[in-house]
Amino acid sequence: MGAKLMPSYAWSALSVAVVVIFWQMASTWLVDPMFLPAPLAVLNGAGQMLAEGTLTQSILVSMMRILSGWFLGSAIAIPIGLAVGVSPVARHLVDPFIHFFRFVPAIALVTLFIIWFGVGEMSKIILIAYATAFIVMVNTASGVSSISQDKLNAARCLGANERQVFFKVMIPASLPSIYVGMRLALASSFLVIAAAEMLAADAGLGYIIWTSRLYFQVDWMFAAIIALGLLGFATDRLWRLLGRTLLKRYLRGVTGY
Amino acid sequence: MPAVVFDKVGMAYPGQKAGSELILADLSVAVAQGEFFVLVGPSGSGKSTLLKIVAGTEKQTEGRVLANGETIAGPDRRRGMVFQSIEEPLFQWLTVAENIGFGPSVAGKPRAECLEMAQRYVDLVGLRGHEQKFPHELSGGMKQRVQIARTLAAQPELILFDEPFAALDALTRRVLQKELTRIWRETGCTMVYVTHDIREAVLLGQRVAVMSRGPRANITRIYDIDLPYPRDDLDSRFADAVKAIEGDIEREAASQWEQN
Ligand SMILES: Nc1ncnc2c1ncn2[C@@H]1O[C@H](COP(=O)(O)OP(=O)(O)OP(=O)(O)O)[C@@H](O)[C@H]1O
Ligand SMILES: [Mg+2]
Repeated sequence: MGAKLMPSYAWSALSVAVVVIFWQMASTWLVDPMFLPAPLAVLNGAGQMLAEGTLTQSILVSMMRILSGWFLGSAIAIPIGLAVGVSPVARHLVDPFIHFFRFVPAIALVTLFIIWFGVGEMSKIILIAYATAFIVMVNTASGVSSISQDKLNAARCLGANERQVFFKVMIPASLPSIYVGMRLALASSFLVIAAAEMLAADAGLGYIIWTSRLYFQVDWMFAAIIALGLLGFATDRLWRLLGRTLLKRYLRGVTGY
Repeated sequence: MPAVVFDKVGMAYPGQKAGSELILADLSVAVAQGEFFVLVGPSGSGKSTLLKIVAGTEKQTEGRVLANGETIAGPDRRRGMVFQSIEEPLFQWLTVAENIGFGPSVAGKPRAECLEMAQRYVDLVGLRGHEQKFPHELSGGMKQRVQIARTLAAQPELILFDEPFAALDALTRRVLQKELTRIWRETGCTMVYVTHDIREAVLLGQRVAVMSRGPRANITRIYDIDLPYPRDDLDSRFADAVKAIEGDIEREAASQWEQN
């Protein structure tokens, strides 16, 4: 490549701008704006909801649910994943459940969880914890079991006992897999929250998307969809930033993209 | 008392098919305190297996293995190991100094003392100036220096080497071979060194043991290399020793062909 034409983020800004312009043109000339509201109309709708306070409130509510469920799910999954990776007995005990529930999508459990845990926050947080847990568990376990025997034996031959091998070698060596697992789980959390809030909620971005249909406010719908995407984008970037700064020495090689 | 004694040792891995033949069979040998003992032999004969038994990461199925007169119960910092793999054994999230200080740190020494000890071994293996680097910032030769320094910092009495320089280029290998001789003489550690390179074996070892092809591998012959250190590979006695061992290994390989 020759000299840089412009900074790398400028390319991204350019491509976003081009898409928005096409969108504006499409809704002006090609599609009925009832179905595809123009970017400006969406911005306007977002402004309305901001003024009423519904958008901010929904964002906060959805984010609370996502983050609580995500942390809860990870907090449960990481120890189990570590145990499964370390101990063949734990592995044989837990394996059937992991590989069964891994294929039961959280969305299939929305109604069941509402019956069990009510329409309140609990059912949504548990749902997201569920969606998170199996992804994080599988990643953690596979991270632990892929640590090379040479690395573990090196620690043992340097005098580490099994407890030290676990805390000083296994955990740091599996952090990249845990980190990547949590990043993947974050994306599924967004997927699940949208579905859960459509079925039973009185607030949240999924709720806005679902109810705007009643008033035929497609611009609100778009505003909520875009908010969801932006929030996901921002959380993912924050997670990556954490990986590139505080946890940098552990995560070299997995924070590239 | 010898540093290591193998007494009629037989070995089969737990994962092996039942009824399949032993990898090592009826193997007896003793390594003296402070000796530089080199093991050569065909691929797959069980050289790494022998080292793992001494390290305590594998257990023999027959016979006795003693280190300093005691049965080997498991890995121990008194028996260090330098691995062939360049990437895997190092802790990639620790700096050079922290990697080298790992042994003292798991022994419960305070951090300042660990780093002080690390510095001593950093200097010994010629890594001064690289203390704060991470393994991925080092060349292959430097990584093996870290492994050696890290092993030394745990204060072992004996160090096992499994083809530590096999993956390095010829020039780096030569430099490290020279330094290893120096380190051995400075520390007085017993060294058990596995290699495929007969020149290297004669350059380093006081005794060079030749293993037969497996299964049921054994040590067929032990050569005393009675040459002063540092050794000169242009010396005619050096060349004679290399030739003798090479001939031995070729005969071993040929006998295998005839059997098949
Ligand atoms: N974990 C294991 N389980 C079962 N068999 C093994 C295991 N490790 C090694 N073996 C077998 O034991 C034999 C000896 O292997 P070993 O690695 O000790 O040979 P080696 O002499 O070090 O060979 P090389 O020179 O190629 O490194 C081989 O036949 C190998 O297949
Ligand atoms: Mg080997």
